Amino acid sequence: MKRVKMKKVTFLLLGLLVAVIGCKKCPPPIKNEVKDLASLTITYKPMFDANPLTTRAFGNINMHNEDILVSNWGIIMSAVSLIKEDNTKLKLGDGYMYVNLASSDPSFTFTNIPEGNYKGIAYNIGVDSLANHADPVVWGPTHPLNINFNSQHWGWAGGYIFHTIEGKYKPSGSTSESGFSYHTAKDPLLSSHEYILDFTLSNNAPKIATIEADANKFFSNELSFTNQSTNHSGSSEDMRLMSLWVNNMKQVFTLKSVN
Amino acid sequence: MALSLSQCRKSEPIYSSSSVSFKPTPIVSTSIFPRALGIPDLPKDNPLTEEGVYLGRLLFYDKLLSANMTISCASCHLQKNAFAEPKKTSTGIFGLPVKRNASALFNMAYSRKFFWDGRQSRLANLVFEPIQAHNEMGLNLPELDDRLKKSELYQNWFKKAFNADPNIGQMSMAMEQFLLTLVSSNSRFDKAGPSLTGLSSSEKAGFTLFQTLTNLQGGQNQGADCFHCHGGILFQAQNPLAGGITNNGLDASFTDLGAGAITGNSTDNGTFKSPSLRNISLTGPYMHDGRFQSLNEVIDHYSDNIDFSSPNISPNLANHVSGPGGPPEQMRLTVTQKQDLLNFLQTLTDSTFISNPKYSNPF
Repeated sequence: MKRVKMKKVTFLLLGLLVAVIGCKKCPPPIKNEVKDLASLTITYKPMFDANPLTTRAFGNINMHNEDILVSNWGIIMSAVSLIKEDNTKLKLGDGYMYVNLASSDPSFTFTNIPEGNYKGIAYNIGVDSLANHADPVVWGPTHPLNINFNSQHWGWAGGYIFHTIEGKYKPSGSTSESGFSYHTAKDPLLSSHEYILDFTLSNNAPKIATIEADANKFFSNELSFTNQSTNHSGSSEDMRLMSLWVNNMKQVFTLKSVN
Repeated sequence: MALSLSQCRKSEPIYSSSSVSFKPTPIVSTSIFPRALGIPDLPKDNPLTEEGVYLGRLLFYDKLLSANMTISCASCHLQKNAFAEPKKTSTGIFGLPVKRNASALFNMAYSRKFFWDGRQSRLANLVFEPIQAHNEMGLNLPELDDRLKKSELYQNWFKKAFNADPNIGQMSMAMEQFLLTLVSSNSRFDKAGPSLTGLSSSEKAGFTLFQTLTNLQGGQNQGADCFHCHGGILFQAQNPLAGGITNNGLDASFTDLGAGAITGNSTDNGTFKSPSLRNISLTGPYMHDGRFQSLNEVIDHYSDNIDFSSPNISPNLANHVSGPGGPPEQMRLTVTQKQDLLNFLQTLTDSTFISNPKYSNPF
C-alpha cells in the first residue's frame, strides 16, 4: 500500500517536473513579431504641373508668369500615421518625419509596422503647440526636431518652421532675378493632411508610397512672389496670406501610389 | 616609461601605476557637450576616450606630420584665434601658398560638412587632406605611418588609446576625437541668456538687427537678416540647402568655384560653407579667400556691396527688394546700425575657449 502511494507521489512529482521543464523549453506559442513587421518608405516627387520640378534651373512658370527656381523645400511632419480599415490611425515611429524636396533623396522610411490592409496615410505639416514650445535640445542628432539638423528651428525666437520654400524667381516679363522665402510657422498654421488609397503591407515586401508635390498649386490670385516675396508668418497680413498658402497645400500633395 | 613621458607634458590624462592596463577611459559626452547646443552627431565607431583625445591633441600639434617637419596642424589653426589663422591665406611647407583661408575649428561635433566647399563629411577623413596636400604638410601616408611607428611617444600613446601599434587609421580616429572636443559656447552672449542680461543697449540693438528680416519697403531698414545663414545656437546654418552652403554675392564671376568644383553642378558655383559667427572677432581675415581684413569690411559688404549679378546668389540676399517684383537692393545700414551689429558680433567671443588648457600645445 505504501509502495503504491510512493509510486503515485513519484509519478506526480515527475509529471510536475516534466510540466515545468516543458514550459521552459516550449513557451506558449506567440506570433513571430519580427515576421509580422513591414516597412514603408514615403517618398516625394516634386513636380511643377505635369513636369518634374527643376531645382537646378529656372523653367517653372506659374499662373502669374513668374519663372521659379526652388532651392530649398523643407517640411516637418508630425503625427505621421497609417489609416487603418476601421478608420483608426496607427502612428508610425514617433510620428515625426522631415523631408527636403529640393534634395536628391526626399524620402523617409518607417520600419516595424504591423502587416495588414490600410486605407491611407495621414500627417500634420508642422508640430503641435506642445512640441512647438517645448525644450528643443532633447532630440537626437538626426531627429527631425533636432535644433541643428535641418535648419527648421527658429533658434532664439523658439518654435519650428513647419514648411520652408526658398529660391529665386523672375517676375513676369523680366529677366532680373529676385529671391523668395516662405516660412510657414506658428501654431495656427499647423495643417492636417489625409491621403486615401488602399494598400497592403507585408513583412517580405517593403513598400514605397509616392506622394507627388506640385509646387504650382501653391499659387492663386493673391499668392504670387511678385506680390510678396518674403513671408515668415510674421505680421497679421503675413499670417493672412500664409493661411491661404497653407490651404493650398491640400492640393499640392497627392498620394499617387503605394507599391 | 609611460609615466615619465606623461609627466613631461601638460594636462594629459593622469594614470596610477595600476591603470597601465591600456584600457582607455571613456568620456561621458555630457561632460564635453553642453546641453544648450543640442545633442551632437558623434561617430558611433569612434567613442571618445581620454587617451584618444590626448593622442589626437599630440598629433594636432606635432610637426612630425609634415614632410619637412616644419609645420603642424596648429601652425595654421591657432587656439588664440579660435583655431583660425590671422592671415589672408595660409602658407604650407617650403613657403608654398594655400588657396583658401584657414577655417576656425570648433563645434564640429554638430557639423556634417567640412572645408569651405563642404567636400568632407567626416573629420577622420578630413585630416588626411592637409597632411598629404603638397602645398600644406606634403607628407605621404606610408612615410607618416613609418614615422609614427618609430616614435616611442606614439608607441606609448597608441597603446593607451587603442591597444595597438601606431597606424594611420587610428591616427585619424584620434585626431577626430580631439577635434570633436573643441567646443565653444561660453561667450558673453551665452551668459546673457534669452533676456540678454548684461548686454549694452547697442549690443542688444545689434542682436535685433541680426535676427530681423530686411525691410526696404519704406523708411529706414531695421533688419540685417544675418540669421538665415548664421542662425540658431551655433550661429551657422547646418543644412546646406538652407544657407549652410551658399553664395553671398562676393563676385560676378568666380576664380574659385567652391562647392561647384566638387559637385560639378554649375548652380553650386561660387557657393561656400557659411561659417559659424561664434568667435568671429578672432577669426579674421574673412571669407573663403580672406579678402576682408576686418569685421567692418564684412558688414560693409553685406550692407552696401553685394553683387546681385553673382550667379547662384543666395535667395535670402536676393529677396531684399524695395517693392513688389522689384530687383534686389543693398540694405544700406546706417553708421549706428553697423556699429551696433559689430558690437553684438563681439559678444560672441568665447575667451575661455581660446585659453582652455585642454586644447593647448602639449609639447
